[in-house]
Amino acid sequence: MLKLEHVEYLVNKKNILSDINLEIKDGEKVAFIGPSGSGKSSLLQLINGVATFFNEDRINGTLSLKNKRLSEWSANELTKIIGNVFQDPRNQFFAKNVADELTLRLGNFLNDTKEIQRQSEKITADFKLEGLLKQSPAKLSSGQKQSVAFAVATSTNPELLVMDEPSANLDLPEILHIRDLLLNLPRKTSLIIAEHRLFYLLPVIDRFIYLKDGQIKAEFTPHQLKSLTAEQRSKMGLRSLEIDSFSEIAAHIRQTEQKDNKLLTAMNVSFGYNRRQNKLLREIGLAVTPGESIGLIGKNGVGKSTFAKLLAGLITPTHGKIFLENKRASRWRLQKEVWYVMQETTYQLFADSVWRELFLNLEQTPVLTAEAEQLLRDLKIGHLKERHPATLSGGEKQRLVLATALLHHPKILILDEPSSGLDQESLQCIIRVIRKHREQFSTTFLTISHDPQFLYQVCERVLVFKKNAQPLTYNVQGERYSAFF
Amino acid sequence: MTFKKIDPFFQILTFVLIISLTFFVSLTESFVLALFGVAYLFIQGAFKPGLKYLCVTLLTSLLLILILRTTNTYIGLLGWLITILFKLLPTMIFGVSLGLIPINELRSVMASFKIPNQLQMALIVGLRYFAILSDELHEIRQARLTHGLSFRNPIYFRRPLLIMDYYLVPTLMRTTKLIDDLSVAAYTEG
Amino acid sequence: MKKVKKFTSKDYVAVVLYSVLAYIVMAAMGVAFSFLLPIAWPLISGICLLPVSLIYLLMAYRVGKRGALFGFSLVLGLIYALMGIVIILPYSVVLGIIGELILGGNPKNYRNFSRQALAYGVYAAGLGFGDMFTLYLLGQQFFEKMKYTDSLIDKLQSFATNPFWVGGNLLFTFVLGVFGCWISEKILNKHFRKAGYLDDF
Repeated sequence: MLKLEHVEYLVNKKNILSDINLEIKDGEKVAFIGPSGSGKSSLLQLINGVATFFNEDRINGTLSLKNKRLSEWSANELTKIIGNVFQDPRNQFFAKNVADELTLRLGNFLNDTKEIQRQSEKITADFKLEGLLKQSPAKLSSGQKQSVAFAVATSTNPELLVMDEPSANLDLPEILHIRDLLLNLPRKTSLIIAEHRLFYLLPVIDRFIYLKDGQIKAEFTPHQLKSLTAEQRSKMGLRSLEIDSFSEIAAHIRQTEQKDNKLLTAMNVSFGYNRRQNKLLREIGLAVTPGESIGLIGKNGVGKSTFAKLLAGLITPTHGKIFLENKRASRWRLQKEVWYVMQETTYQLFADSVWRELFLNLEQTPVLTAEAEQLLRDLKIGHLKERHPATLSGGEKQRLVLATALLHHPKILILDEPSSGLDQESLQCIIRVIRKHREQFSTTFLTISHDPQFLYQVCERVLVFKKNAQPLTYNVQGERYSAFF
Repeated sequence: MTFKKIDPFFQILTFVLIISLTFFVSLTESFVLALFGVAYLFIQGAFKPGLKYLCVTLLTSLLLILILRTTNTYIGLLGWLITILFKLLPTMIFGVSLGLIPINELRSVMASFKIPNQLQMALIVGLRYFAILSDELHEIRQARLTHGLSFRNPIYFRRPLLIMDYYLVPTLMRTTKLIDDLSVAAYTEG
Repeated sequence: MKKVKKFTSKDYVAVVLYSVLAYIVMAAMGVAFSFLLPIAWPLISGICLLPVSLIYLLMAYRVGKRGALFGFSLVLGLIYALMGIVIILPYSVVLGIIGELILGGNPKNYRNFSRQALAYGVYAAGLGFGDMFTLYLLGQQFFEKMKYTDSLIDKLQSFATNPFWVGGNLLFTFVLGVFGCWISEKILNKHFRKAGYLDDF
């Protein structure tokens, strides 16, 4: 199906990939694994032809698809053979609603309107998209977008499916849904997938290819991968293979003693984006004591991020009040005292270097300078000080914004999905930094995440959000709480 | 209840006709065109946008009538802005109506006009850009707020050029990224 | 150097989106500074076109082919035409051609700062002059049709007939256009080039 010989890929005269030799047979299902920045995504771009599209001169070596050089394929032929699902499918959609999106892709290959209609109905039924057809792709939850992108990509029965971290923003049920979709792929369809989360891929994948520093370092069968010890795996920068293996790694977080005074209280907070629509949040109440660390969990689209934005003063609740230290807090005060690390951290980077980003709108004192140095080192981004934030990888951006937030010493720090798209090592250093900061400055943390392993290590209690209902609190200690997810 | 689905070819024809009309008409005629556009939307069963634009049309014409009675220079300026809005209304309404056409039908019609494939994609993306841009601006604004860089911040008075840095540059960065992503998507989708 | 390349789909998308963004910025600036209209009408276009220079320069460097300025001008002209100022459309086409002539010749010019700054300055001056051009060509009736009040039209008329203000308009817009490009070049170097958005072209 696909053959790569001595392939090199250069960006800014630096080798992103070097000496890649790889052969993928018809119908084989392959996963690229490895730490962030190891070149997984670049390799995918080479394979699906996007790299060729950008600039052919940067590629050396021979890539051939079905015994024909990749550069000789026309774009139109290539799209017939390869289906793509990107990590962030947001910008993959063109149409106004899901039904149009499906017919757009089908319309490229089929001419008969009736045939298009029949095929699109079949796919809708296969992927259970009936409820989504009239909705705009932009308004869907991450999991729904991913399903739609999957449906669109497979609608024309491509021979090769290329996926870049499809699970990055998904919650557990959604990941399992994607797994089922992958299991149902036709046998003759080849699959190439780059991924951090491994547990859901084990039953799907035939061959795991381990990349590091732009080179193929090892290959595993699922069985071999399972037989690695936790230590070996963590050394290689790979995530755990099970969903709820808490005992495997670190101990549980230190519990703060219960205090009576409240740092932040939300009373009957409601919010809806649209007047006519149902409210997303309905009379939510929450009380946070100083120094607590709370996890916010729940399905995608129930309003966790919206609630966090309300607490951070970025949007105003339609009803209800928010108190900070027993005083009614205005939006401006909330913006000052609460730092919100967005899920899409790209937006939060304004400066032209990592170092200046830290001191954006913050006075640079010797104490803070020392602290900033230490933070960068702890988060393992110290060597990037002079780089432009836009050139960082997703994980590095996340850590940079976290460092900026910590440097401001807010009373409350809200992290929105800090664990998505991180490899094992970065995940561990984020956990260490959060814990250290809590010990030193007793900052209050609110963490939104879908990752039970992560939450187990940083949170004392979790708040489970449900649609149109009060969130329920569970203590993390002792409870086997994967049941919540 | 089923609504009349207007043939995309005919839709584009009316769109072009209306645009060329807006070049020449007076304000009252442009008012009639806007009303016609609203009716056009209703025929196709798009009640929500139809109602919205009906309100906008009526409101702006009311404002315009009020403003025309004053002689004050500055209120007169407002009149100029509203006039421009008014002139744009028919185009906007028929643009919405054009947006109701499924995208692949739109493409096939464009193809029958022999518009090059690449330009087709650019036009479709251009239509979608407004919606994407408003989302992006929203996110960028919130990100600015987390940094305490709202317009209340005195640094903008000391160094006005920072407005470029914090308002225009992020928008351009996102737009550039968007162009890359969309053209990649256009490439992979054919 | 290779021959002048043709537009790819990416270039079409880029030109359309950047121009639309430029129009939005220009319109926002125009509204924000419209209070200047009776006091110093000829200066407004220069101020409005200052931030646009960043968008233009980024687009010009990224596309880097013949036709970028023309496309930019064409899209803006189309939007103005839709607003009712039809005359700007052919005017923009002519401006775009003039701009392309300034850039023309060596394909390296399209990524050359001083050439681009000059072209943009001329283009900006031309576009800024567009308002007065409309007044000359269509006379007062047009502005009456656009529902300007009489006192405002009188003021605009006095600006447009005063050679000092007319020359000032052209010069000011040109200088601000070039100056805007100079600032933009700095910002581009600081952010976009450093971020690698302008590499390997």
